[in-house]
Amino acid sequence: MAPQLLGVLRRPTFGLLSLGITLSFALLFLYSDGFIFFFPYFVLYVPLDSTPYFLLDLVISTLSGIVTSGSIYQLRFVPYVSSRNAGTGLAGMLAAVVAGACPCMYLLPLLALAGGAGGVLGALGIVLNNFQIPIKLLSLALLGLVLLTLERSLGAYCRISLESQPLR
Amino acid sequence: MMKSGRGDNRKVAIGVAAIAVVGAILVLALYQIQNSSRVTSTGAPDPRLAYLTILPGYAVLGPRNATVTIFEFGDFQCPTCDNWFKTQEPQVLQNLVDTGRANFVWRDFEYYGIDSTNASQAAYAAGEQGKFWQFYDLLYTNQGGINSGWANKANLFGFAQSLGLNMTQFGSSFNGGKYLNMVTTNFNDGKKLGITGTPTFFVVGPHGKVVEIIGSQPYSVFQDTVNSMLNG
Repeated sequence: MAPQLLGVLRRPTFGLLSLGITLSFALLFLYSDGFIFFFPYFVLYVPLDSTPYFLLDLVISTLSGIVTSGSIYQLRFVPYVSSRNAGTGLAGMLAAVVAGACPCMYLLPLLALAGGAGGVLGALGIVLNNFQIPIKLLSLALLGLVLLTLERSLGAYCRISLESQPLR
Repeated sequence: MMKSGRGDNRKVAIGVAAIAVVGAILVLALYQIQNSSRVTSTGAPDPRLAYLTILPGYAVLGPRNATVTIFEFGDFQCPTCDNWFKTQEPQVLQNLVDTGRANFVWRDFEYYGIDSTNASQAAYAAGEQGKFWQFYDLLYTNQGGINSGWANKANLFGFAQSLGLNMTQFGSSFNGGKYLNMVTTNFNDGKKLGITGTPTFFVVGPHGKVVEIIGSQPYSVFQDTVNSMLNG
């Protein structure tokens, strides 16, 4: 049996939504981690020793896209569903964004130079910078967990629907 | 038991969608920030040139009168600067600076705190004894976590001692704040240049042409930029 989420992604709206979110997140993470540059011209540069980070960024982006569109599908079409999945997915994506933004050579200086609240956020960013990889792995785990439960709940819903059909 | 209301679901859906939208906006904002400080080099002289001159106190690698100058604005505690130092700088120095095609000037732009400021002052104080670049190498080679203490005063003095510097002279310059003014000037110049992160490079070529390179970009970008300036 094909995975339920695959069925969701085959729908043009959700497939495109997933692709759009994946690309947006990938762009954000790869830019933040210094894998892509726009000036003086566009460059994608992945040093050999940074390949695991690059792959981690791509996997988290892809999972974020799938989980988001899957969650929206679930909330839209599956009645009486718990919002816990979507909440966990949100936490996973937040963790990914935090991990992606913390070491960002563009964001930290801006915060640090802003003074006041920006300075405090900058200081927090410096602390979180040391935990970038654990946060990214946490994000991966959360998104993976949501993916599994989403798949399970969508499958369960389909089964119930079929079984509840009156016999003719 | 599934008794969450549709209102809760809607809130979560809005939150999830918001994250995606924020991600996209952030990308556009970052792109805009990078783009905002660019000034075309056609027509009027580039105003950034006012802050991109080699002043007497600066340590310069390569011929002082080279046609092209690569300015780096960096922070000794910045991990990305360290990454560039270890992965790209050797090629830049070997192929562009050692061959006399360009010279290289390092200027500090600190935002990580007092250890960064002290590290820069210590490097300038070492430069007074002709060992700026040795001190620079030592700092990046020994870089630890941001504000973890690896660049505190005791360690900076230790680095100076390991290079065989005259410690009386070094201590006098460092403790007397002889280079604090230079650090402040570099920082203010950096802000006027619109620096939003480190490392940021400005490649200054003939006819007042300036190209800004942000981040730990590969050697090929520097090579292409210098080549285009020398051939253009």
